[in-house]
Amino acid sequence: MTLSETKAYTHAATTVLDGNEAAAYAAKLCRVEVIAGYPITPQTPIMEYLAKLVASGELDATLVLPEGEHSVMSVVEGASMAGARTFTATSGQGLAYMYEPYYATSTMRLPVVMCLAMREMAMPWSGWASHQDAVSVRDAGWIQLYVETVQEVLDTVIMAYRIAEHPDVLLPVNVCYDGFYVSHYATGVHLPEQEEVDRFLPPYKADHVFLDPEAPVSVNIAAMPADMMRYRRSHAQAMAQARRVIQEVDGEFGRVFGRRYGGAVEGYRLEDAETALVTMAGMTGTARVAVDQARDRGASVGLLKVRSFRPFPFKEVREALRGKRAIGVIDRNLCFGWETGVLFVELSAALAGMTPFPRIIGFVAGLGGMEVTVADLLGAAGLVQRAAAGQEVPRVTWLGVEDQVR
Amino acid sequence: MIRPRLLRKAGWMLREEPKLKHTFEEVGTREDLASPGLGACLGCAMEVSLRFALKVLGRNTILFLPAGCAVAVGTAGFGRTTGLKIPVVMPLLTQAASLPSGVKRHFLRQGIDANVVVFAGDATTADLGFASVSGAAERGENIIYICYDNEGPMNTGYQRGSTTSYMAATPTTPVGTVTRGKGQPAKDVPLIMAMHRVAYVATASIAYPYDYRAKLERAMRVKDGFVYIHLLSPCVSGWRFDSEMTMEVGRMAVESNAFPLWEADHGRLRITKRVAFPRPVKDYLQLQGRFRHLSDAEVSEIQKMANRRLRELEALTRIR
Amino acid sequence: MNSKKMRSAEECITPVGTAPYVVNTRYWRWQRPVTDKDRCHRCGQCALYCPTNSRYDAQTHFDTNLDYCKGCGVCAHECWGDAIEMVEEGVFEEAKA
Repeated sequence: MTLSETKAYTHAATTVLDGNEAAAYAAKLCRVEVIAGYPITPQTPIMEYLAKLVASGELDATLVLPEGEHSVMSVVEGASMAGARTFTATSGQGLAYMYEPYYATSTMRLPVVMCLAMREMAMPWSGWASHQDAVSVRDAGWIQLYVETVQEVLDTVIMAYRIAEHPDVLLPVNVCYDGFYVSHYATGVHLPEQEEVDRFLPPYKADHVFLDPEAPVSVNIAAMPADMMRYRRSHAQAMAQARRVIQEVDGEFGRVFGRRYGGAVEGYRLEDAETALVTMAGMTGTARVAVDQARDRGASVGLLKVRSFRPFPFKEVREALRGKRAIGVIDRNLCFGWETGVLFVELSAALAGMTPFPRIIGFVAGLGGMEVTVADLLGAAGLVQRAAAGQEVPRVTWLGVEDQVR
Repeated sequence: MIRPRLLRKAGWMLREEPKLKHTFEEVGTREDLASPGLGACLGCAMEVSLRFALKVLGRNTILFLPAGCAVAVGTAGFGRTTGLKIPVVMPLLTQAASLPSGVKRHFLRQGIDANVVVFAGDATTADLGFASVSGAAERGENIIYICYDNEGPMNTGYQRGSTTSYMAATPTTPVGTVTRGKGQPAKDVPLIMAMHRVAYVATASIAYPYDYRAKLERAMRVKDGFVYIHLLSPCVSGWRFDSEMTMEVGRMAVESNAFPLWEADHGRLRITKRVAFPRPVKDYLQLQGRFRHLSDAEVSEIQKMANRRLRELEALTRIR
Repeated sequence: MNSKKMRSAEECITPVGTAPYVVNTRYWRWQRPVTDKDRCHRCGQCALYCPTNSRYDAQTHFDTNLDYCKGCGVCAHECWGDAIEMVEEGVFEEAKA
C-alpha cells in the first residue's frame, strides 16, 4: 500500500502505516505550506513520502531540499517568518548540525513543527534509536512531545500545530519518536478525515511576526540586556502556558477524534500501585506488557509515561507519583556527569520536597538501538520492588549490560 | 592653483561626468531608505553602497543583513529600533542565504513579488555561510545576494578571512620575521558563484555607481534564479588609508585590474568596465597601509597574479 | 509608516524593532566640507559618493547638510573642480568669529 492510495480510506478505516509515513500523512492533513528536509537515517522516508504527495498534487506545498540540515531549519524558519505553516523532520547528527537555527527558531517564537526520529549521537557511529539527540537540545526553548505509537505520531503532529500556533504559546514543537522502533514499524492506524482536521486546525495566521514590505520593521534585532530579560521571561511564560494548552488540545482532540493521550503524562495501572516505572516514548509499550506481567506475579507496580518533556510537567508528575514508595526511571539516554539518564535527574528535581519522599532509582537502557525487552523491564520492576522494601539497590543500573537484574 | 591630482582627474571626469550626473539625477535624488545617522566609520564604502543599493531597489524590498559591519552600524537597530524604512532581518551568519530562501519561497506561494535581498559581508559569504550560499545558488533561489567584500571579518577588527588579499597584513596574519601577512591568495568567490551556473553574477564597485546601478537593476529583473553581486568595499580602518581615499582606492582597484568589473548573465561572461591603459597594481597597493611591507619582488608577484586572473576572465568572455 | 502592526513589539514575543534608530554622527565631525559655489560643476559626484547622503543639490551648487556629516572628506577629495575644502571645526568657528 502506498501512501497516496490511503486517501480512499474513510474515517473508520484502518490502514497500515509506519511512523514516518504517519508523520508525513499528518503533515498533509495539516495542510502544511512549506516543507524542507535533508535525508538522514532514520527520518529519511518522511521526505520521500512528502515528495511523492507533492509530486502527485495531493499536497499543495512548497518542498525545499537544501544542502544540509542547517539550511533545512533556516528555510523553515524563513518560511515561518513569512507566515507559512511549516514542517520538517530530522534525526541525530542532523539535529546537532541544525542547532544554531534550531535555537533561533524557538527564540523567534516561530510555530514550526519538526518530527524527530530519535537516533543515537556519534561516536561511535550508530544509526539506531536513542533519545540522546532530542534530550541534548532540551534547553533550546522548543516544546518536546515524546510519543509511543505510530497512531500517536499521527495524532500528535496534528495536535502539535494547535499547540504551537496557540496565541498563548507560539513556540516550535518537536514530535519525538524512536528511530526504527517507531519510525519504521508498520502497524494499523486510524486515519482522521481531512474535513475533521480542517475543523480542528484552522489555517495559521501570524500576527506576532511576519515579513511584509508594507510593515517596515527590523526582525531578529540585537537586544539590550533589559529587553533580553523580558524576551526570555515571555518565552518562559509561554512554556508554562503550553502546559495548560497541551492538556486542552489533548482533551479537544479526544472529543473530535476519539483518542486521548493524557496530555503531558499518562499513567498505566498507576493509581493503586505502590511502586512505579517511568518511561518516555517507544519503550512505554514494552513497559505496559512488563507491568501487566509483574502484576500477574503479584508485584504492585504501575507505569507513568512522560509525554511532554518540554515543558516538564512537574505538577502532573508529582500528582501521579504521590505516595509511591519507590520509582524506577528508565532512560534511553545518558546524562553525562550524573552517570544516569536525563529523565532521572529531572524527575528527581520535580519530586523534590515531596513527603513521603519515594526512593528513586535510575536505569539506563536501549542506547544505540539496544533492545529494551520485557525481561529487562521486569528486572527493573523487581529492583524497584526491592528498593520499596528498603533493600540496598544501586542508584543506577544499566539494563542489558549488567547481569544482576535478570 | 591646479593640483596634480586634479589634472589626473580631469581625464576621468571628461569620460565619467555625464554618466555620473545622469546617475545622480535618476537615483541619487531618490529617498534614502536608511537612517540618516548610521554608526559606520568615516568614509565607509559599505555605508554608501548600502544606501545606493536601497535607492535602486526601492521600498518593495526585504533586506537580510547577517552579522557584520552592515548591521553593526545600526541598520537593523538596537533594542526595539530599526535603522531602515523597509523590513530588515538579521539572520545567523550561517543561514545568510537559506533563511531568505524560505521567505522567498513562501512569497512566491502567496504571489508577493518583493525583492528578497541579502547584503552580507565577505566572511559570511565565503567562509561561515558559504554552504548556505552555495546551496541556495544551486537550488536557483530567486534572491539577490550582495556580498560587500572588505576582505575579512571587519566587524571584529579585520582578521584573516578567505577573501583577504595575498600578503595583506591583518591582526591575525601580522608581518613579522617569520610571516609576511596572509600567505595564500584570496578565494575568487564571484567566479565560484559563476561556476554554479546561476542566473546572474556580477562584480561591482561603488566608485562606478552607474555600473553598480545597471547591475542592481538587472538583478531585479531576474526572476528565474539566483543573483550574486560581489561588491568591493574598501575599508578605511582595516585596509588602513585615510577616510577621504575610499573612492580613490575603489577606483584604483578597477583601474589596475586588481578587481575587474564583469558580469555573467545566464552564463555569458562580459567585462563591463574595460580599462584601456591599466595602471600597475603597485598604485593600488601603495594606497593601503596593509601592503606597506611589500618588497618590489612581492609586488611584481601580485602583479603577475592579477594579470593571470584577468587572462582567465578574458578567456571566459570568449566562450559563447 | 507601520500600516501593518505586529502585536509582539509591545508584548516582547519576538524580537522586533519599530522605532527609528539614529546616531547623531555630526558629533563625530572634526572637519567640515565648505563648498565654493563658483567652482561647483553640479556634476553630482559628491552626492553619489557621500557615505552619509549629506550632499544635496542646492540648485546653484551642491551643498552639505551638516546634520549627519561625519567629515570624512570623500566629497572634497573626489570633487573635480576642487570646489570643496575641508576646514577644521575649530578653525571654522574662529574664522566665523
